Amino acid sequence: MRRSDEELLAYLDGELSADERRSMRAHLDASPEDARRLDELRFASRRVTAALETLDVPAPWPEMPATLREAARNAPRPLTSAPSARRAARFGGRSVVAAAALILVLAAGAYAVPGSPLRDFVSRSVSAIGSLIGGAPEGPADPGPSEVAVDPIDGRVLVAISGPSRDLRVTVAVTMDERANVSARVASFRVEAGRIDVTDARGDVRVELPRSATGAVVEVDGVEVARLVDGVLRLTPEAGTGTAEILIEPAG
Amino acid sequence: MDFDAAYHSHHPALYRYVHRLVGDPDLAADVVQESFVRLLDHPLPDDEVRRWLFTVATNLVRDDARMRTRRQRLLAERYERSDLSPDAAEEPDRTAVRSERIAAARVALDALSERDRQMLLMREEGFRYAEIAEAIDVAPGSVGTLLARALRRFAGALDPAFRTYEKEEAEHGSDEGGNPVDSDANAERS
Repeated sequence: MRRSDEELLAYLDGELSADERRSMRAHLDASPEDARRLDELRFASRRVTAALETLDVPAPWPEMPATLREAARNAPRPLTSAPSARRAARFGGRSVVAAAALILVLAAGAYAVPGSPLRDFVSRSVSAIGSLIGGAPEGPADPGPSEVAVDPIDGRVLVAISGPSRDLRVTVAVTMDERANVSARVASFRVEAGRIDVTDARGDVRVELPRSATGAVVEVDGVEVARLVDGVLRLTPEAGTGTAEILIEPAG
Repeated sequence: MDFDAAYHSHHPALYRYVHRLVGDPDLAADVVQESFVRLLDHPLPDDEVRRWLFTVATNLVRDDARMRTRRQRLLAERYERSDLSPDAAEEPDRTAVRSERIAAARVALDALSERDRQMLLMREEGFRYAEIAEAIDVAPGSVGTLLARALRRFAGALDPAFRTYEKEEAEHGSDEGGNPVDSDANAERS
């Protein structure tokens, strides 16, 4: 009696019991037609696997993203009462960055008014958003693709980068954007008014400085490596002294 | 449940599954992250985490209209890209061949029903029929039938993009009788 495709596939997939497998083997020995159909299915299965493998791309974030790690760390047992942390993880980098940008706009306004009662509040908010992006300061370094932006304060902005220098390549560019922007696949970020700290950076870090800034500085491991003054971006003599590679992207 | 361990154990396979399902790396990353976020609210025994994550991810893809819209757009773009001219299709360049295979695989996969696609991809990840039935919400007794049909449809739709691959396999991977090499290892999976 002819076996169905379902039975043959179940045999191929190891879904049969030991008795059923023995019975199937005996049947296949006696039925060349079903043995041929089993080969067809086996071949189709291999073809499917090969085809699906062509679609694969490397998984992002082999290490847990900072936001998710933070949510996991803040989730007490039973893991049901860390809604804010989970919301942060759910929002992902871009939403958090948008929130940070909004707070920093407020920060700029508050700082422009001496004695403003908003000043402390805004400072705390900026710090909180920075922590949200970069993880708790005492926490482990959390790699993950992300980008952050900050508005210059009084036309000035500082981007301070640190990380294993031999694995670090920093590309600095000037854009027409009003904000400074830093992106990296592996790094932790902290944003404060007029300043972005990038720690534990590895691989490529891209820094975009706003052409409108009156003064913008990029530091690597505490050493000033690039400076934008009056729209002109230059490497400093110290840029070539470290092991990190510092590049300036020609103006487009 | 060790969340860190769960992430490292299941993230690559879950991403591979979802990416194959939706065809969009960014969307797949979002779904995978959301699945792990939800896991935070569901501490589970270790041996249940994998199936749970795949079920949640499958439901997220199925229920999210935004994803469906995005998939349809990607699918349309992919059909346009796969419309290779005869000259281009015969170009021996490896990149062109690879692009053709990717397009063929995606088109063949997207031609399946959503349910068949999910079942086929879960089978590829090594899930048992009972687990697939639970995750996809179909009768356990029908999984084999549906899978066999989906497998034949998908494999049949791959022609002719994988003909070259099969020739290579026949030259390098055949047994003495000329059949594709594949032991009965799967039959011993249980």
